Amino acid sequence: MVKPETHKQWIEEELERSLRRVSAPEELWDRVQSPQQARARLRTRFMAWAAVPMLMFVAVWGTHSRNNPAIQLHSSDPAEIRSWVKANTGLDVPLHAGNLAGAKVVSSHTAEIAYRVAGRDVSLVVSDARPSARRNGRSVSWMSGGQTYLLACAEPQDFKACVMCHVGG
Amino acid sequence: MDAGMPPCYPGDLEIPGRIRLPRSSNQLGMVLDANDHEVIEACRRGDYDAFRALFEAHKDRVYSIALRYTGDRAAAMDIAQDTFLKLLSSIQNFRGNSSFDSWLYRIVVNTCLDYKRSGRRVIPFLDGLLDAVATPAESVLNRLVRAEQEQTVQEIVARLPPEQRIVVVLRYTEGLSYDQIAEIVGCSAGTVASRLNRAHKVLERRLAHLRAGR
Repeated sequence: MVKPETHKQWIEEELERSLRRVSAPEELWDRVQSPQQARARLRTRFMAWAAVPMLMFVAVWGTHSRNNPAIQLHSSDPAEIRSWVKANTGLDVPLHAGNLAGAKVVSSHTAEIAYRVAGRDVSLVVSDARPSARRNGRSVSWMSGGQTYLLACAEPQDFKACVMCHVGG
Repeated sequence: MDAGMPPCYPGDLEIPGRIRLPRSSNQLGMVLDANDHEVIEACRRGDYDAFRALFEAHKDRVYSIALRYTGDRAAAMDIAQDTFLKLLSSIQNFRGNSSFDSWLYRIVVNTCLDYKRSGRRVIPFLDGLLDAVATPAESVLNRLVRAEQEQTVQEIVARLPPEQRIVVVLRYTEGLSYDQIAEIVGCSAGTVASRLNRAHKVLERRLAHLRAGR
């Protein structure tokens, strides 16, 4: 007996909302027109993009595992940290006051902003590289103003609170 | 002009082979019936513009099914690309015994199932969250909460067995009836109902916390 299709359960409403149709990216036509070139280009781009967040991730978790001892600038002043980061990496990182612990230079184009939240270390890595947006349970990366941000939290419960301020701007 | 052709709108292009394309692809829905026999015939003759018209008419549908099935944009792009390449290479075999929509659905469904069988790893991205914060109409909190919920639903759906997942996607992304899904997937409507029922039970259990928050 086939189920009647009239009564909608809450799960059906949830699925309709979450699985709704979306628009295809513009580059799909390019890929259909030149499939081999497009795939090769994507592979190259993916490898380049994938390498950057992986390196940043390793840097962040390496720092966490050492209890974040390598802060080069100890400060809670957002303006001071912003100007220090800009002077050392060329990155302009707007920051809000609160929970800031300092900053360090990871490379000539990458900086790490250190926070101390509820006794735990949280790192915001900023780079001018261009990885795709992604997250796992404890980190998220996104792009804004031509810069890439990667936020990593030692504890998953810190994650949502951090995303609120940083991703929400 | 052929009597069977749709009316011509100002700004349309007259394409050799009797295919009319609008100047803007956004207008396609106004003049191009996806099942238009003329367009499909032109595609068979190798008409580039006709294929472009067919692509524009169906790209969102194909991409959405692939995205909702895999939960991953890169995988969805691969599947959508493969689907249109298969369509291009096999449109000679489309005889019109079934509707063009059903034929296209079968191609994308098989491409989805083949993609999973190839064992390529799928990594979901935080697209919903990033899209949510870019939308200005609501508070950031509401948008984030809703995006997080949708992300959760998509992740749970992406873990369903393939035969249940494809039925869920055709039902809720495309809004197809049990009979339509049965024709595409190649089973009975009763089997579709059974798979959906099993999927609902799994999803209700795993997403119970969302119901509590409603």
